[in-house]
Order: sequence, then C-alpha cells, then structure tokens
Amino acid sequence: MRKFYDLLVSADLLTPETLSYMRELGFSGVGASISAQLFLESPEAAMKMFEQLRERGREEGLDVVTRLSIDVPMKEGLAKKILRRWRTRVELITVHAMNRQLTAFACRDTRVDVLTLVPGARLLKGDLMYMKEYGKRVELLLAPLQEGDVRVRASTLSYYLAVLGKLAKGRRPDILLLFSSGATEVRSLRDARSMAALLHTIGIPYEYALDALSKNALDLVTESREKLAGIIPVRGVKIIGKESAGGIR
Amino acid sequence: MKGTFRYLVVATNRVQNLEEVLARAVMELWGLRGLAEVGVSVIEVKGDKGLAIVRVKREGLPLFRAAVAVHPEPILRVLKVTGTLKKAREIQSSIVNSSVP
Repeated sequence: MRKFYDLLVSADLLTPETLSYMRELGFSGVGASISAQLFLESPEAAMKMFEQLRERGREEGLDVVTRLSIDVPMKEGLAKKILRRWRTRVELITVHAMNRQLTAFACRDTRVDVLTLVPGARLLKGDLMYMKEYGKRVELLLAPLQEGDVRVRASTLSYYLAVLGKLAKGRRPDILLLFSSGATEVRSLRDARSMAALLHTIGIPYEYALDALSKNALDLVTESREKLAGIIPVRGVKIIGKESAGGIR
Repeated sequence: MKGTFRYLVVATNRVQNLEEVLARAVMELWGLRGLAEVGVSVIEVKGDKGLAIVRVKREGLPLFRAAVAVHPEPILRVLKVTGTLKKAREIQSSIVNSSVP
C-alpha cells in the first residue's frame, strides 16, 4: 500500500485539527516547512516548533518531516551559511527558485535536497544536468494553481505544462518529481489521489504521478534520515546494519 | 451508446446545487468538451451526514478529480471510488461522519 507524503505544508498551519484532517485525506506524512527567514531571526523558536510538531504528529499518527525552506531571495553566501549551520539538524533543506542565481546554486550544491519551482522560474540545461547527477528532486506545488484570478492560474498551468514537457514528455521523468500542496491555509489541502490525477492530466503517467506523492517523497525522507543518522556518511556509501550489528559490511 | 461509469462517495458541505458547482469546476479547467468527457451527475445527497454519491464517466475520472483539486475552494473530498452504485450506497451507509473544511 502506498504511503502518501505532502512535503510542503506551512508549519504554522499544522494544528492538531489540520494533522487529523491530513490523515483523513490519506496522507501518512507531512513536511512541516519553516522559512529560512525564521531560522535567521529566531533559530531557537524554529527548532522548538519542529519539536512540538513532531510530538503532535506522533499523537495523530502522522510522520512529520522537518523542512527548512529557503523561500526568499538571498545571496549565495547567506544560503551557504544557512546550509552550514542547519544541514545536520533539519531533515530536508529546499530552495524555492526565486531567481536565477539561487536556482543555479540550488542545483549544484549537494546539500540542497529539493528545488521548488515557482511559476516563471527558468531551468537551464546545465541545471537539469546537475540535478540528475546529484539525484535532486524537482517540486511542483498545487497552491499556485488555486490562487489568483483565472489568467494567473492559466499561466501557472502553462508553466507546469512546459516544465513537465521538458522533464517527462509522457514518460518517466529523468529527474524525480515531487508534487506538494504548498498549503498556507487548510482550504488548499487536497487528497493525494486527486493531486496525482491533476499531474496525470498534465502529462505524467498515472503511476509516476502517484510516485511523486509517495515513493519519491518517502525515498527522499528515508535517505535524508539515514544521512543524519550517519548510515550514509558520504554520497555513494551506505553502512549496512549500523544500528543492529554496529559494523561495516 | 451505454457508457461505463465510476461512482464516487464524497464528503461535502455543499449539499445544495452540488451538481451545478461541480459542473462549473469542471468547465473552468476543461471547458465544455471536458464537461462532456466527464459527464458529471449527482446521484444522491445525504445532507445530514454531509455525504453524496457522484457519477462520472470512467475515462473522465482523472479530469474530474483534477478539476476539483485546482478549484480554489474545497468542494468535496473523495472517500471512495466504486464501479457500481450498489457498492457506493453500501459504503455511504457505513460511514458515520466526515469532514470538509
């Protein structure tokens, strides 16, 4: 049975009621996203919030994944500073493609797990090459398709069609896809299979669309947790049976 | 020509004009042709439980779900998809309560 993950939901939104509603929507896990801005202003508050959310998640039977989102335009140096400090303490670090410099940086820095595409962001051939090589995920969001007037939503849909055309063209995408709600309010949340149906109708085979909400997300979370636990000390090396036997095979 | 349908047991808080709202949602994303492909109709509504059974053409199911997903308001939540109305009614009567924000 598939386990569905919505990897981008604003941490402020995740009250016990919302977590319970997400379970009703069929999700097994949720990515609690906190903006890099809060980590810069008040890191203790951000970490405390993650702790509370993990606890709430345990109570509701939902796997809460901690996620730091670099979702404001910033210089590469500041993004590197954030990565240095928080990479070993947060499960997922993602970058919104706010501008060309940040997009290029996110694609080539191995510490970034996911590039979240905002409508209008350009992806160049070199970016795709880096992403493929480093096994990064590209994330599309549902929320921009729900917000604004019809023309804005249509242009977002047009952008997604173009991106998926580049990445997939009706076959398995070369770069693994994630599809998340990007919700900042409860009314933006939808059930996983409806989200997959949307991805399917804009050019991805249905099974791969389901993977974008389940397998791809779960693999990423598992890999990231293994990295944090030291099971994957460097890229390409995995210590098998570290917890049980304590040795290297 | 007789088509093949799917029956969706859904939770909704819009028990009035549900069919109209759904048709508009499908029209907004897929237009008149899409609406024809989906062939959406509301079979029955249980206002007290906030549940309904919606019938769509089998091929139109992804279009329908996509249209509901991108709609700015959460119109409904799909609880189960079945191939027969009998099964849909059984599932509907077995559900105690449901919620949509």
